[in-house]
Amino acid sequence: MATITIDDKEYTVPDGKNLVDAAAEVGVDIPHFCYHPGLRPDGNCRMCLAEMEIRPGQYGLITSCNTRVKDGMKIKTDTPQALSNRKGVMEFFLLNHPLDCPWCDQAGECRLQDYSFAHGRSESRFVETKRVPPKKDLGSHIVLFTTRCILCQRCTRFCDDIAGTSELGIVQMGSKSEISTFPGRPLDNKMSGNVADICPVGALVTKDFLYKPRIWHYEKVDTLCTGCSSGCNITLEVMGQKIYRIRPRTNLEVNQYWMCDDGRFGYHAWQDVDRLKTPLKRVGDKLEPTTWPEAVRIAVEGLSAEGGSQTAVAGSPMATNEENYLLRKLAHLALKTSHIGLHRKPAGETWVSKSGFRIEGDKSPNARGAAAMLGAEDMQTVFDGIETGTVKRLYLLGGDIERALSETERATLGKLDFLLVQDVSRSELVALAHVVLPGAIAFEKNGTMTHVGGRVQRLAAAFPQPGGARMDSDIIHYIGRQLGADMGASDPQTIFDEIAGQIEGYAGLNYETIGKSGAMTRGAGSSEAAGG
Amino acid sequence: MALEFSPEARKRADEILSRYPQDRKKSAVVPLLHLAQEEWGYVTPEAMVCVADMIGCSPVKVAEIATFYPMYNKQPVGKYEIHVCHTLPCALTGCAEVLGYLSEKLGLQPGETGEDKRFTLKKIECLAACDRGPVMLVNKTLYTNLTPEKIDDILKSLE
Amino acid sequence: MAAPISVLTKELRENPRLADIDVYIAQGGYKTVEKVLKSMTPEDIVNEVKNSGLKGRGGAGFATGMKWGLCAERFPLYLCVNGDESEPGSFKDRLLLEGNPHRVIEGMIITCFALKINLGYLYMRGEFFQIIDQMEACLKQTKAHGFLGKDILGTGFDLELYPQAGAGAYICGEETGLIESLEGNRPYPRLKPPFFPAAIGLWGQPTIVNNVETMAQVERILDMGAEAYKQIGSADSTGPRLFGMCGHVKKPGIYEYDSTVTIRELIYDVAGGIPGDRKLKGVIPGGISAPILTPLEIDVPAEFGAMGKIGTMGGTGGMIVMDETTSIVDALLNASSFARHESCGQCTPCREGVPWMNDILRRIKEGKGRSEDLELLLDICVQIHGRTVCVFGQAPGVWPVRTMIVKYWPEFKACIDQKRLVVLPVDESYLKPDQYEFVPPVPGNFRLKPEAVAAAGG
Repeated sequence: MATITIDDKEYTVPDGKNLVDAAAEVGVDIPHFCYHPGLRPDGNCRMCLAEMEIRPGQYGLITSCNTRVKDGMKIKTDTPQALSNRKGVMEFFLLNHPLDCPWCDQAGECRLQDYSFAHGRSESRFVETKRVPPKKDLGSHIVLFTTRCILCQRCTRFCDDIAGTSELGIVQMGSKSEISTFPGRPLDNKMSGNVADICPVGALVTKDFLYKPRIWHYEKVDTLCTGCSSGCNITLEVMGQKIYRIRPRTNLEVNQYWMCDDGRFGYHAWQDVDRLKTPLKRVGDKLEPTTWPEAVRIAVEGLSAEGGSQTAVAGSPMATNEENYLLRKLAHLALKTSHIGLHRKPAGETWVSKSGFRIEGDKSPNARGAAAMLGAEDMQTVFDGIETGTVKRLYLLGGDIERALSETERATLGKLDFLLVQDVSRSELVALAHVVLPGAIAFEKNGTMTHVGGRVQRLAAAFPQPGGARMDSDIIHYIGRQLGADMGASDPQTIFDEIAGQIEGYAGLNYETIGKSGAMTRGAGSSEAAGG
Repeated sequence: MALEFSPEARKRADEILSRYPQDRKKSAVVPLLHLAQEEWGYVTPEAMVCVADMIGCSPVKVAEIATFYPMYNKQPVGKYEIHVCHTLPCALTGCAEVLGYLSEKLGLQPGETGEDKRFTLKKIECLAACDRGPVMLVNKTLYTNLTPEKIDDILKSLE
Repeated sequence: MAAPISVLTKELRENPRLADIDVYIAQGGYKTVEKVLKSMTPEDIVNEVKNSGLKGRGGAGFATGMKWGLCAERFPLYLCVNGDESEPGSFKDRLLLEGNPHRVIEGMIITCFALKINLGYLYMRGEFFQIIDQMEACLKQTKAHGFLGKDILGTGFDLELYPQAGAGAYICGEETGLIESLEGNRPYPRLKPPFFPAAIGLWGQPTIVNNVETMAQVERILDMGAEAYKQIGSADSTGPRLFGMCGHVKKPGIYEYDSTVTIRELIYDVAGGIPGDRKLKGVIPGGISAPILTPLEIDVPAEFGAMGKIGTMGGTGGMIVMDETTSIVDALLNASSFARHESCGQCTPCREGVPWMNDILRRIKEGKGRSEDLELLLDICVQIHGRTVCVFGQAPGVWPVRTMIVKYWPEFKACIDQKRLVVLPVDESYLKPDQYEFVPPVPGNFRLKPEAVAAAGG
């Protein structure tokens, strides 16, 4: 650790830490534009200049973003020079900047606005002609309002060093410089949306968010992306039970500062899909809407036939740890069956960026957690059971709007006497079921999921289930009780406390310790390398 | 359709690339763009892709270079590209008159190329020949101590 | 007054064919390299150069021996020689590269041997077409004669030197801009600290960046010895200087003198005075970025120290002389347009502030200046100075603006008041030195004294 002085106050900070970060840690804001903790420092905006003691009593200007803390360092961020510099830099930025605030997407989360208010002039001294370069469509997701760009180079550094795809460059020279792509080579990497996050002004914006309502209208919900097993931490911006934007949350252990485009823009598919809003029952070769009491009655009758020993349950990698745990509890307590499976999704290719950011090939968020909860890795034993006739009935969790079934799966499931499917849309699983219970999507759930590396993290619900759909944990709990079992607590937080006591690797964890950034599980079923 | 250097130019390009350590091919971008301009008259996006492939980087990184430096033309120029220095020492010794005279004789404003594609007239910054101003480059040849008479002789010699 | 000397330029004045290695060798060329490689250690050479007091000839005047001493010993090391001469008023490197390229190469070989460097690049302006071709040929000749390549002169020392062309950007003359250009990047100068080339340079390795003329001086020092070299000039500025006289002088050209010669002597005795014997209005003494001197300030020797003391700089020794017919407003607009054209655009103050100042100056020239414009210009200077990534923001960004406006305040004021380009009679166009002050140590830091502003009418 190092002891440093900022504006005549002493602080203890990690030795060698970046000065902007160290100052932020102790509550001192050193204004900056081009610096970003996830990118190498560039020092081009000049906003972060502060004064450092270079000789006893003598101070000189330094670039804070490019300076590492050393024991005994003395910094002043509020000298006349430092303040005059900020005012000057703000004036320079705004010389050619268009007065777009009323319709610029960045309004409300714009550094130019914030710093202008804090450090800038209230009137412009510029009476010359502004530059007006035209705006550019950079790729599938990103638009560049060139007039607003301050050439901080965060976007080019991102494409070069993080994505590794180098689609962006700066063309021309001097004050005519512009961000650009190469003709015929648009900005189309798998993480392109991040450039709009890191752009400190409204120059780079996503087409997805273009002209949507102002950011202060939204309720923010911190949760997880469920597009793959990377478990990226995200924040939803919600209004009127609809998602308007998704952005990554910083978690240095999981996704650093980033998320991929599939996750960022994929919420439309979930919001637009035709949801199951009532239970369904099979009548002939059709599925018809029915009531909850009726659906539950059929479910209980079907599952408990012949004492339940020939009934299997199959959890889902789309469902939370709590949901999968409850399903196993139901199997043990209510059905007294040992036939437990996990209906995994076949994995595709994993993509790794230059910086090591991963988009996992497993497009389900909780295969690892589900396997630990269920004590089952896949459907092998259950399918074998169906083939040999020892399994005749199945309670299957779905929840994936894109899960296509293989011919083998379809054939095997077709041999069941009774299939109860809990799902969110009319999926291929639903088409095979005898009775269907409408569940929730990730945006409507509270609970935890465990990412591919063994970190257990919290999901938070952003809005309620539509129509007659219910939270899956509630449904499983209810079915269990109707089957006569004491299912214990029904709220995810208490269920997790039970998990901590029961499932190896989850000991000592609870919602408090998991917090907003998750916690590593350990031992069998978790990552050895994590240690703790 | 990918542009390729002629065998002659390819040899020259290989010699240029050999001047740098194996893993530092990007250093050749400036000389290779000069070579491309020699080969094809000016630097097109296709030429940038060709150079990018040779040095193993994405084409926009070559565009960054090609659009930064003034010597690379992104549009075709006339057979004779004239650069007249207009920085202070030459300004003091009469470049305004020279530029005006040339402009009149060629019927071109600085920045323009003639319809007949013979001449392009441009202004340029200091050419480091300040004791012999006004000066101008005609393609690669430097002409110094310019006067209207001298300009007449030079233009005549370019017939 | 100081007598002309010919330590650097004797041979090339007398012999136009020195680019031919056989001619160069016949004149005693490459003897210094032989002597140095065979009988001196690298440490000996560095000490000799330190002892000589040589100051870099690229404009900054940093002690070369000290720069070499700062070179981290982390192999490989590289040499980059700066032949990107683009400073308006500077044309001495062209002379050396054209007229005596082998001396420059010889200096490079000695430097590389002294610093244990095995790979070096000579970066030259892209517009120096014939010079580049000639240098390629010269380097081939040098290698063929065994002074480059492997195991040079049987000493076990390997060295390859290559030419590198620029492509028309002044910022490549900044040492880290040059390195970025050589790496194939946009030539954006680097943050210092930590990217001082001697610590982290070309491809992340310790790199020495020296000017072309400095290389030639190194060869001279090792030829005649530091003691003899120190006898030339003064303790502050040893060795010969190449002064480039241009603008309104009767005999423009490069003149080799030692640094004790005064500016007045250079203008009137060396360069023959002003055509038509017109009056002097001002002289920019070190290339366009150097703060201007009024006719009352030219009795100063061209030493680096003496020039620095009065707020200007020795720079590259390129003197732009302006007579009474010159509009200083127009001259400043020219300098400002040059800066606007050459700003690389990396950092905010220079990218935005330099064009802004240019716009204001253009308006003033066109007669649309406002009374607040001069204060505004000086304020913009404050906002740029010392706050940029590299020195471009200061010179040529701020220094010409600040010093010309301060010293020639009456002429600027007249243009604004009369709403047209006015050329005042010389003696009325500038302020007396007691009406402004220089705030050391950085050149160009001039301020009007409040009484001067009042006297000039506000």
